[in-house]
Amino acid sequence: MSEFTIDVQPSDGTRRLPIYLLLDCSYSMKGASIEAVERGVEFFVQETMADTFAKETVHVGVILFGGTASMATEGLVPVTALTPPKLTAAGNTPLGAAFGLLDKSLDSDYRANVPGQEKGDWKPLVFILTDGEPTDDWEGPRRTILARQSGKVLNVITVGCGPLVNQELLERIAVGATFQMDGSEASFQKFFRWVTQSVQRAAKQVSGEEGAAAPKEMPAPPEGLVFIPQYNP
Amino acid sequence: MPTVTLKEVSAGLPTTITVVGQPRVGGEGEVYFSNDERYAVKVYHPQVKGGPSTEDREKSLSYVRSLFQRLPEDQAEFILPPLALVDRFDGQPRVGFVMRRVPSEYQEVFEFVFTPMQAAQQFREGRTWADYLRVSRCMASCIDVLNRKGCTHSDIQYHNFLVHLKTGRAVMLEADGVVVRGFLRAKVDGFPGFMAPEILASGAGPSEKTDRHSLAVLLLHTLLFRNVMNPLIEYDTDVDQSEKIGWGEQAVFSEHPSDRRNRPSKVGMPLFRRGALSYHTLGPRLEALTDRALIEGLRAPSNRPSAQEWVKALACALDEVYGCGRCRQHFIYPHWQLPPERRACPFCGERVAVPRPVVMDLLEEKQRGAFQVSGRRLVLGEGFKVFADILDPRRMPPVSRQSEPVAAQCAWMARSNRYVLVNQSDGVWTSWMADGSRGPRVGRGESVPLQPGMKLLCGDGSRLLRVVEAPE
Repeated sequence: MSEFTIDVQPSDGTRRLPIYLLLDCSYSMKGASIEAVERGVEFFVQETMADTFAKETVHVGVILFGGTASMATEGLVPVTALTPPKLTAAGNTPLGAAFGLLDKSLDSDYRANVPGQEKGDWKPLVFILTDGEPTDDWEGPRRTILARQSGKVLNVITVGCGPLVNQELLERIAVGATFQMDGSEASFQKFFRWVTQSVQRAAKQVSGEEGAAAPKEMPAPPEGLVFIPQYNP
Repeated sequence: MPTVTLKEVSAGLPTTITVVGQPRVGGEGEVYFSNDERYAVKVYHPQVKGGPSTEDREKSLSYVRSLFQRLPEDQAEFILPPLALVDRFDGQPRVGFVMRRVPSEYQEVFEFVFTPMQAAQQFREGRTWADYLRVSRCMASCIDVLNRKGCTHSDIQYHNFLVHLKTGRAVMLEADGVVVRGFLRAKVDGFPGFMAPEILASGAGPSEKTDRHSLAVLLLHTLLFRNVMNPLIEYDTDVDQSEKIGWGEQAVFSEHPSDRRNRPSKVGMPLFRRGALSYHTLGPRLEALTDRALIEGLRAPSNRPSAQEWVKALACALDEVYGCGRCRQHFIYPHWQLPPERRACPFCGERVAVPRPVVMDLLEEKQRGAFQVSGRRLVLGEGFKVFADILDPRRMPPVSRQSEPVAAQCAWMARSNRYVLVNQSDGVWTSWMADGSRGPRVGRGESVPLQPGMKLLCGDGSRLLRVVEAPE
C-alpha cells in the first residue's frame, strides 16, 4: 500500500481541548532558565502525543512575552502540528500585552459553546509562567482575563519563577491558582511535568475515562511549588 | 515477591501463585502478574464507604466464577472470568481474584479506532479493514457469551476490549463487574458516548437493553472509525450539560434518513480522501441491524438487536469482502449497488475494475429438495477459497479459518472470460443451468464455469450455491 497516499481527517464533532502556554522570555530568564523552558515545551509536546486521546484533541496556543509579546503559534494549533518554539530571553516583561493576546485569541480562536451552533471546545486550560515583574500596564488586561475566568469558561494557573520573584507582586498579578517556585532547572522540569500531567488529566476527564464521578481537579502540584493566595481587589 | 494464596480454585490452577513487579493501580484495586506470566491477579482496595461489602464482593465473584467455569473453549477465549478467589495476599486476608493474563500484544480497541488517524496508521502497517471486521465479530461474541449466561456488562466501550488486530481476536475486560441479577448492581452507568440515551435522559439503570445500544455504538465505531451518535451541535452553554443532552434527550444517529443534525459533512466520501465512512458500505444485513439499534431502537429499546444477531451478521460479512485494486484496502463488495459500474472502493473511491467478482446466494434446504435463501452472500474473485464451513448448513464461519478445509477455489479464465469454481473436496457436485437443465457433475479437481442463474450443490446436505452475478 506504500505507493498510495492515505489522507484522513478527524471525525466531525470532535471537541478540541485548548491549552495556552504564556511563557516569560524576558531578560531575567536568560541562561539556564530559558533553556529549561524550551526543553519543557518539547517534553510537554512529546508526552501529550503519547496519549491517543490527548494527541487527537489537545490544541495549543503559545504566547511569548519578552521585550514584546507575540503569539508563537497561529492561533490554536493541534499538538501534532506544534513545533516547540526556539526561545531567546531578552527585554522587559510585557505581561499585560500577553494577557491582551490571550484575550484576543480566546475571542477569535476558541470555539465557544453556543446552543444550536456547531460544537465548541472543552474549557481551555491556561498556564502562565513569569518572573513576576511585569513592566507594562497589566492591571486592565488582567481584569479582563479574571472576568472570563469567573464566567467559568477558563482554568488558569499562574506560576512565578526565579530568584527575583516578588511574592507581593505575584499575589497582585495572579490569575487562577497561583504558585511560586525557584529558578532551578529541576523546578522547571517539575513544572512542565505537572503541566503535562494536568493536561492528560483534563483529557481523561473530558473523555470520560476517569468516570463521571472523578473530581474535576488538577493533579497536586509538585514539591517546590508554593501556593500563593490570590489578591482580589 | 508476594505470594497469593487462593481459594475456590478451578481445575488446573495451582493453590498459590507468586506475583512480580509493580502493580497497575486502578480505581478499584491493583492488578499484578504472576511470575510465570500466565495469570493476572486483581486485588481490590479495602472496602470503601458506599462501595460493595467484602462479603457481597466475594459472593458475586464466586458466583461469576461458577457461572463461567465450564465454558467451551470457543467461548472461553472471549472473556476473563475469575479462575480462583484470593484468600491471602502476602499473608494478609484480601479480596480479589485470579484471571488469565492476556498477551501483551493485545491493546485496547480504542487505540485503533478513536479517529481515522489511528486506523490509517494500522493500514500503513499492513492491517486491513477485514481485520477490523474480525475484531468486531469477536467483540460481539464476548457480549454474546455473557448474555447466554444471563449477565450484562453495563460498561461496553472501547477501553474495555483488548484486541489483536493481526489475528482479529478480542477479549472483554471487567468480567468481575458483570451484572448478574440479584447480585451486585452495576459499578457504573456506562461511558460517555456509549451510554444508551435513556440512561442520560431519564436516569434508567443499565440493563441488557442498554448494553445492546452500547454494543451497536462500539461495533460501528470499530468499523467506521467514528462514533455514529456523536452530536455535532451544542445544546447548552455549559459543555457538560450540552454533552448530556446531545447523547441523551436529543440523541440522533449520524445517518438518520431525515434528521441530519449529526450528519458528518463528508460522510460517504472516500475515507482516504478526507471523507468519512458511511454505514451503507456495510451491506444490507449490517445496515438493517444498525437501523434497528440506532434508528428504530434508539428510543424503543426492545427493537435493538442482540449480540448474537451481530455475531452472525459480522461473521457472514467476511465472506462478502473484496480487495481494492488501487489502494489494496478490503471492503464489503457493494453487490447491492446498481448498476454494477458504479461500485467503488469506500476507502479510495476507485471503481471496482472488471472482471468484477462473482456474487452468489447461499441457500439452505428447509424441506427435502426445497431450498430457501438464507440471506447470506458469497463474493468470489480470482483465487478466493470456499471453505468447508460455508457449505455446511449447521455451521457459522469460525473465528479463524486457518485449519478449515478448502472445499473449492475460484479462478479467472482469461481466454473464456469466465470465472470457474474448482472442486477441491472429495464430494461430487451437482449443477443446474439458469434454465433449470442439468449441468455437469463436478468431481475432485474438475471445474465448472460460473454463469448467472446457475446452481451448485456441493455434496449431500450441503448449502446450495446460486450464482447471482458473474461476467457473461
